[in-house]
Amino acid sequence: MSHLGERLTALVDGELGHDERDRALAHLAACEQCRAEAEALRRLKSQLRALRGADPAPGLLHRLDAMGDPTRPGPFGDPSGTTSARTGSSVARTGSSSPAVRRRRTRRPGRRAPAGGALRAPAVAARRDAPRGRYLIAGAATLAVLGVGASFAAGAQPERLPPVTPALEQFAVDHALTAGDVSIADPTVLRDPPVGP
Amino acid sequence: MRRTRLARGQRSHIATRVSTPSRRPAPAAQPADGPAHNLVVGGFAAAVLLLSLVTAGDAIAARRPGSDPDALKMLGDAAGAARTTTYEGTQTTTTWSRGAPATAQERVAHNLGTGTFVRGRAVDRRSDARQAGVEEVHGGLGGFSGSMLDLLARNYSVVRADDGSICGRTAHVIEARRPDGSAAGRFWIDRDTGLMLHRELLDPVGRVANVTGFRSLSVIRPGAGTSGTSGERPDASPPPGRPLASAELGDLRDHGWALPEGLPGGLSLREARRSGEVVHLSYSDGLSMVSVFVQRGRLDERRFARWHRKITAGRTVFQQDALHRWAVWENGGYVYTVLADAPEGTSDAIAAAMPRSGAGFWQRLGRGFRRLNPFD
Repeated sequence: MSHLGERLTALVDGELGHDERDRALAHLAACEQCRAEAEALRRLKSQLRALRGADPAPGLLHRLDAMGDPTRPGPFGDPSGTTSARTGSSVARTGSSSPAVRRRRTRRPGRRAPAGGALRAPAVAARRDAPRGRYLIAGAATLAVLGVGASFAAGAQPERLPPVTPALEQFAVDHALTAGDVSIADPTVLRDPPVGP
Repeated sequence: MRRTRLARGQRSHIATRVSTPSRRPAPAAQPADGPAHNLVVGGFAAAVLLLSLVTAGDAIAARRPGSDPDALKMLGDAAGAARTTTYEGTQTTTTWSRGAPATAQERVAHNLGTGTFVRGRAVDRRSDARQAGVEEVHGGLGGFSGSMLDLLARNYSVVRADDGSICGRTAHVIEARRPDGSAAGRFWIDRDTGLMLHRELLDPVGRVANVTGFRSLSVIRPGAGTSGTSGERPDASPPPGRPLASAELGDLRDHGWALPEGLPGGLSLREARRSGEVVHLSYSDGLSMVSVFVQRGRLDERRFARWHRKITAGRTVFQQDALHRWAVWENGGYVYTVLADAPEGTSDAIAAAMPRSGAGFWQRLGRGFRRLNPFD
């Protein structure tokens, strides 16, 4: 008895026609070897399907997206949004994206416009832009604080001012003129000779 | 000008020339039992004065009740008498510091039409007010201007005391009293001419702090009147600098200058002038005269190596008490020089109360930015 061979794979993938599928199932009922092989294929397929559910880290996708030229479509779509306008969605355009990638795209905010529009809600777009805005604000605030702090520290030392020796004699005269006193000089002060350097 | 340091006996000699009413504490009652006692009493007096200056503040805004209009008029008229009377004589000024007096003596001659001369030096000031025929007299024996009289009446009760005699002349005695009733100043007004013959400043414990008066006086020609202006135009030096308007003072304050409107003890800013880079602020409470000179720069302390060094309010203050009470310090890139005809301790209170000068936050920030600016 000949075994199913490649038709077994088609059976597991659901690609056989109705009659061929009946004949293959009849063979499996009688052939223990093919039945074991079909079971193994189903388990393998199930495991592969489970593997497709693993998503990459969101940050990785953002970083990869940001690395590209903003004028060119990123690896997950056209940042300008024109692709969607032309083709409806990159999923529809390529037709080869995995479900995981499709889920990732649905999470990405609306620089692109999926045909349905439901995935481009403003809230989703805000979540997409928020981190970059926060980075900008934080950066500007840091620069401002550093600038103010540096200026304040640099201004701590007073300007270089010349040494001043008050003109006591002249001050005594000015005071007397203002006060209307007759005694316009203070001999004790005036007799104090300047101390040499 | 001759200056002498007088011993207690000599000072009593001056006091005997001053006939004092029985109510006032006589200068001769000064303790004379040694420098230690003087220091203790002087320190106590300074402490009391400081306390009174701080507590008085500028709260005294209204005219004190109980001033005698006749007494105020006599003080005001003394200015007119000083202008219109021709006289000559000897004036002395004595200031006591820590119990020790310092005295200066000068020959003074006043001629109607030429002004007051001290050994050939004219000390009257020419001003716009004088040109208009209204001489501006601020204090001393020249009498009181209207603004000074207002200050006096605002801070003290001015009343008449018993008449006395001085320089062999009969005089009306007027007292300026503090709110507690103690005498802060006394004035002897010549009964015949209306001239002010003698003036005393007393500290809060009744000690005479400063005396200015005629030691001898010859009236050559009495004035035509005691209240009018003579229109004399004496040759006198103009006052140094130019007056600063309120707006200019405000601008200076905005740039970091500490130029207060008032100082402790009811001292009010009367006039501000600028001469070169020096701002001269004149304060008075009606009795004491205080000048504060402010200028930018760092204090060259070598000039003050022989002065008394003291820390007041975190500032190194150089002090010297002679005829005037001097205090010099630096703060925030500004040098302050205080010259006070006031009781002991006044300069301390002023140094402690003077607001901090220098750059504020924005000035400092701007200065730092200019230093860091690579395009500057």
